[in-house]
Amino acid sequence: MTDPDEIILESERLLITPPREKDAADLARISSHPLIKKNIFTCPKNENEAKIMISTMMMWWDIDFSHVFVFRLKDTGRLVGTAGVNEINRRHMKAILAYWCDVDHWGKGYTSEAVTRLIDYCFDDLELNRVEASCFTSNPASARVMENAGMSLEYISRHHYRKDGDFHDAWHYAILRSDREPCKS
Amino acid sequence: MDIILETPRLILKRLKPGDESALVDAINHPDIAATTLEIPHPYTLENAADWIRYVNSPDTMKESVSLTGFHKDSNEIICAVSLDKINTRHLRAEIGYWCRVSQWNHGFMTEAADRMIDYGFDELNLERIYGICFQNNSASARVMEKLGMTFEGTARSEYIKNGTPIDFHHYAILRSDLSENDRSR
Repeated sequence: MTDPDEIILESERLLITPPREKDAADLARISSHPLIKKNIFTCPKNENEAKIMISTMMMWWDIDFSHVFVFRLKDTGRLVGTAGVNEINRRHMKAILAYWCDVDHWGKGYTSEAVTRLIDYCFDDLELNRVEASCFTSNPASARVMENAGMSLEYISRHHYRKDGDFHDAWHYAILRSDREPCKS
Repeated sequence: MDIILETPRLILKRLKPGDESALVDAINHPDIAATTLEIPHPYTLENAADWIRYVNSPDTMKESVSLTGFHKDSNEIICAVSLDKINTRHLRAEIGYWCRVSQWNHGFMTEAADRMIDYGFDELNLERIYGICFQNNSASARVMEKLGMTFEGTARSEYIKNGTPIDFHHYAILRSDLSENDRSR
């Protein structure tokens, strides 16, 4: 097992690291936005809940269930989002990505950049063969992140999610190791 | 809790200790192993004992209903059908099944699975029941079509079997797909 303390992923504009307790206030603030709460399931309501969430994430890291990261801007150090590799399945060599980004920083391609870097992490470091992600069909911005990162739409599952009593259809995307350009593999 | 369901030709019930050799007699066939992820061939009495322990464990029963179809006349095991990964938050579950090879093409699988789908909607209050099959398993796909399930798409290399990644077709049926007329079939 790699010690998460030693993992720093880098992309053109981002530093991507495991979350630390000091990130709790930022996570709580960012995820309190209605546009975030609308589209994801586990939002910390305050800094204390965010701290608990971070310690849960680190426990999941220890048992190799998921590797969750936060990403921040290189030039300002500002935390702008999270992206995680969840439900790591070594037997079937696959995992599920999830991500969200500070609404104030939407439209700049940061999430696509972070997700693209995490896909490489999945193939090169975790040695997976398949990476999946899904979103509500009412959330085309999230689908665009997956497309920007090279993922393909595979199936649409109707009424896949229930949130606040309503059912939502889901787009399911995936990328295989063999989908990446030859120069990367 | 004991669950016993009835169809015109079958009694569906949970296997009990003592059913090991009857299970081996029905399931031990290379064509069943070839079309499923978890069923080995040869299938030994020890495999059967492990399975029966598994389906009767409280943890399994929390998220699974796994029943076996006994022929009403011969009392022979004909098939098995289960609802697994029962998700009470999103109100969905995955249907899975196998049928004794000598009884293929007699409609037993559709008969048993159809009853299980009704059980899922009526007793478990599910919204969505989904199923997957190996992309080359047209017999299983035909069962899902006969059950009124809709093809949702194909996930590439979704599971690995004996070192080979396999594509899976995804099907699903929603509570609202069944009209009141259908429900009283």
